[in-house]
Amino acid sequence: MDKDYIDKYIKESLYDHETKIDNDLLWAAIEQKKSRGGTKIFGILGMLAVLLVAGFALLQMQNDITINNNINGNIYTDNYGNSQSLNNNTAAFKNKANQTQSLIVSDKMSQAKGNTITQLDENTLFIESDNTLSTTNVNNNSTPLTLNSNTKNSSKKLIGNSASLKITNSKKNIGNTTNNNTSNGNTSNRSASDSNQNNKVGNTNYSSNFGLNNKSNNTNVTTSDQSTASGSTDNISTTSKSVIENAIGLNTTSRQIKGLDQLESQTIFLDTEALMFPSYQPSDCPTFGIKKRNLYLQAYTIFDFINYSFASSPDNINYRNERERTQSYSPSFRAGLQAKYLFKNGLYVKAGLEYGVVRERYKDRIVDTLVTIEPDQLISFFETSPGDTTFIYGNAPVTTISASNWNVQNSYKTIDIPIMVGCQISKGNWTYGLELGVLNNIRLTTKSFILDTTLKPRLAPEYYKSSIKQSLTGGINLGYSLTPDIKLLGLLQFKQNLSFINSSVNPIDQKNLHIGLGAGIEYRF
Amino acid sequence: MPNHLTIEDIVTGCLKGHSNCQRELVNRYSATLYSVCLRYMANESKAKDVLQETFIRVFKSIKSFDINKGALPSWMRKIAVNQCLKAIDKEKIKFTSLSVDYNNTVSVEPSAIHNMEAEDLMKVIQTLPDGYRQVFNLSVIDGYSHREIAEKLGIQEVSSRSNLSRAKNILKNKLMALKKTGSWIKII
Repeated sequence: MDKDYIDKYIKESLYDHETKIDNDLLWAAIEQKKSRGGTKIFGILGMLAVLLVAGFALLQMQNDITINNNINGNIYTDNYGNSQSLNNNTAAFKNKANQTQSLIVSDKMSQAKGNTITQLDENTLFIESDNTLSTTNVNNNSTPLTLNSNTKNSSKKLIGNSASLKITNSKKNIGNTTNNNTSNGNTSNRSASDSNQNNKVGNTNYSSNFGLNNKSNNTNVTTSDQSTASGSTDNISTTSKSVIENAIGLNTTSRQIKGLDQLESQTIFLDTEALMFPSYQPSDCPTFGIKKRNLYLQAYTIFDFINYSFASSPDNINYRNERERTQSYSPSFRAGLQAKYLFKNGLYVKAGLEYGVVRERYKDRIVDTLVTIEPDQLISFFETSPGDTTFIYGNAPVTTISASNWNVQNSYKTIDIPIMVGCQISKGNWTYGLELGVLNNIRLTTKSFILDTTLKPRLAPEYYKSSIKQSLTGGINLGYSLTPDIKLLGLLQFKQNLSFINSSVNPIDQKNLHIGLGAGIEYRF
Repeated sequence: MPNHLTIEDIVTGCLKGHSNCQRELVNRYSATLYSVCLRYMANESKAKDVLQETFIRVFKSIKSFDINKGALPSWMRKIAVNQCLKAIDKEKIKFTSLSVDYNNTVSVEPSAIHNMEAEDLMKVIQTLPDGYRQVFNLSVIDGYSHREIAEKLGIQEVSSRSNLSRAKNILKNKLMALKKTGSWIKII
């Protein structure tokens, strides 16, 4: 036997041998695999984007901490009596400096002894008829200056009436550096007899509690803050008359500020316009150039569990059973970008764009058995003598058994426009939200192997619609503020198809219910 | 797709990611590559899977194809062989205990032994055990040296030689049992 000849013969027979294959089906399968690769890339890019935003958030947080450490308790007002948060950077009041007069309370003031502030009344200072700032309303004509707490930005305000003086502290930023003589839990009391000589108000028993309910240790305006969690109390020094008058340009003989003690290294910007025009009513002022800060951008990814719901007429029950048997769940996801507008009452609306991939596993095993009678089959052989074998040939059945396993990851891709309404409440750094809305489908694409009505697996894009109109969506979300502008989100959402995703060609009606757990980032503009 | 497109046109189109050129490539070479995959995989559905992977790999790697260094069909054939070996290797790790479920068994009882066509020859080769079949295909049909086979399969050169020898013996026995007349009897 010429082995080389056999090898050569086999090679010649098989090297360029061609076996027919359905090119259309092959191309469809290649396309499907190619697009699956694209989805993977999209997923990876999405995750990278989330990580980038998270990294940016952390960086921002670090920056805030650095800046905050450089700020030593500043107080100012703007021209319109609007308080400005000092929490982020000192540039904010540098910008205002040309519109306001600053009152610098220097270390000298801390040396002025005499006036006492003990439990100032209900966050209130008064401007007397002679424009004296006082801790009490003596003649009932005084204009109250109220120190309020803005819960939203955690700032404290002194709000004037006709002469508007708003003092804003950020509890976060106005630091403990002003609290030179603070001893924990102490209230700074000073006797009335030690008062300013020009004090026209007998303030012996006047007290005011500024009520700065700061939870931090850092307050630079408060006096006798009994509610301070840490017990730290800051002092406002009685201001030197001359210093104040010189600074604000008022009548030096008739202006006094009582009850300010030891305002050290602080800057007060007074609304001189308001002081000069007492009839000025600083109602809800327009916030020119000031950020509204109620517009948000959310980026999120949700991993979905999907409940596939099939329905059919009784005529197609067998087909439906086969479809249910061959199709099963596979991990799916949605990702999107949404803009959110938050109203003051906690309600919000949001809309955006969402990309979703619904996956399912299609698995089937098809066994074909073919029996044919073929001529010239080897029926038996026997050895008649040593080295001599006799073969017997004839017609015989030939059984061909073939089995094919189908294990395909199907995918349906959706592009939706979500429109949602919701409400949220905030507690500290945490927010809790509840929302409901609709997803308006722009496009549904399918490249999926399923059993067709002949129970043969095939690509059947015509079995599905190209758009599925609306789906109902909603859920709850939990947010944690990393910085004032950036929030980390946890989401629990559902999505229910309101109409069938199949076309009329498909005898099985299908709707999907998604239940997903996700995460995201919210950025506040 | 027009048939007048040259290989260069198709390659250029594929380099630009043109879908119609990729489709043309599939149309022209799917039958040959499918035959390669069938020889190695011995299972139609797995061979189809590997064929799909082969074309995807071809589309991704076509920028590394140098038309001056070799013919496109040979280059694609090498990719197909590599994909087959990769798939077999992966399967061994993952599905050793489930191999029965994934086998597409084709048996001919008793098979035709006269008029031995290439299809029939392929079926006989497909009945060889995995390791023997790989070595036989690589060595006899695809022309790899034992050294190259040893590198590809991660085995010793000696093992490659012995596997080939056993594969040929098994094949000879099968052919002897199947062939009655014609050139095969003369060869044997």
